[in-house]
Amino acid sequence: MIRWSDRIATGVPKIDVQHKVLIRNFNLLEERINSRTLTYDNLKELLLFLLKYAEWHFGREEECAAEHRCYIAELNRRQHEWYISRFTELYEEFKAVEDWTEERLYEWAATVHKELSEWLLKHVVRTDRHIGVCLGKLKREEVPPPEEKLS
Amino acid sequence: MTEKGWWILVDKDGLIVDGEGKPKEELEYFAAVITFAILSLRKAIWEEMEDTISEISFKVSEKGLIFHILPLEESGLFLITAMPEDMPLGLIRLRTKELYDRAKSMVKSLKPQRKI
Ligand SMILES: [Fe+2]
Repeated sequence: MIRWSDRIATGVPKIDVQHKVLIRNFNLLEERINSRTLTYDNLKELLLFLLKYAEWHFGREEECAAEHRCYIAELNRRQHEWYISRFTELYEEFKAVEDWTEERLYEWAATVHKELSEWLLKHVVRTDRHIGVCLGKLKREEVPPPEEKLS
Repeated sequence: MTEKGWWILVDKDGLIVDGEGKPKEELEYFAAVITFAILSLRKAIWEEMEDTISEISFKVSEKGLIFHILPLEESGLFLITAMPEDMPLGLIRLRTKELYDRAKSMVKSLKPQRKI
């Protein structure tokens, strides 16, 4: 479970509130996996929501970074682009399988949850928090340096 | 089960400007999600019909709530109200109108909004 803390806050309210939505829904997915309440339908619905919400949120965040001419804007945009294309690829993979067994569904969901939520957490800490620096909400020394990697 | 009513005034980023009736954290989450939903719906309607949404109403039966979403066009804000369905319709209208008028006068009195 990802717990909200200052370590992942950008200090920019509109960005933090949207990150909380993504985190809450990744946690919901984890909870459904752990409590064995996952179904094909609720997984599909949750993945689609997370994908669409991430897309929308990334757009808002990119506008904000560009508006403030933040040094992280271009890297942030490229990382978002990578994530959406990876997420879409996984979602397509999910829809393409016609004969999910329960065991395979749980296994696939756990792997995908790990990959997508870990990326998000790393991205928030190493990239998005620099937007907080640009907007004067965080000090540069409080934030680990950005990583050029997309994945 | 019928829940007590609540309302929020949100901006286009999903941030709460005002509201009451539920713990802050729950209102915040709802505001962030529903703003995304409203803007997506509005985009779809615009692309399909070249028109804008003036009001959205729906019912959440299990919680016994009737929702109204009213945009305050000039400000880009939305008023979202959730009223118990066992409340007389006239009273729901009255209460919604009251909140809408209050939000409108509040918007008027707001200084030009900061970007963040
Ligand atoms: Fe980002």
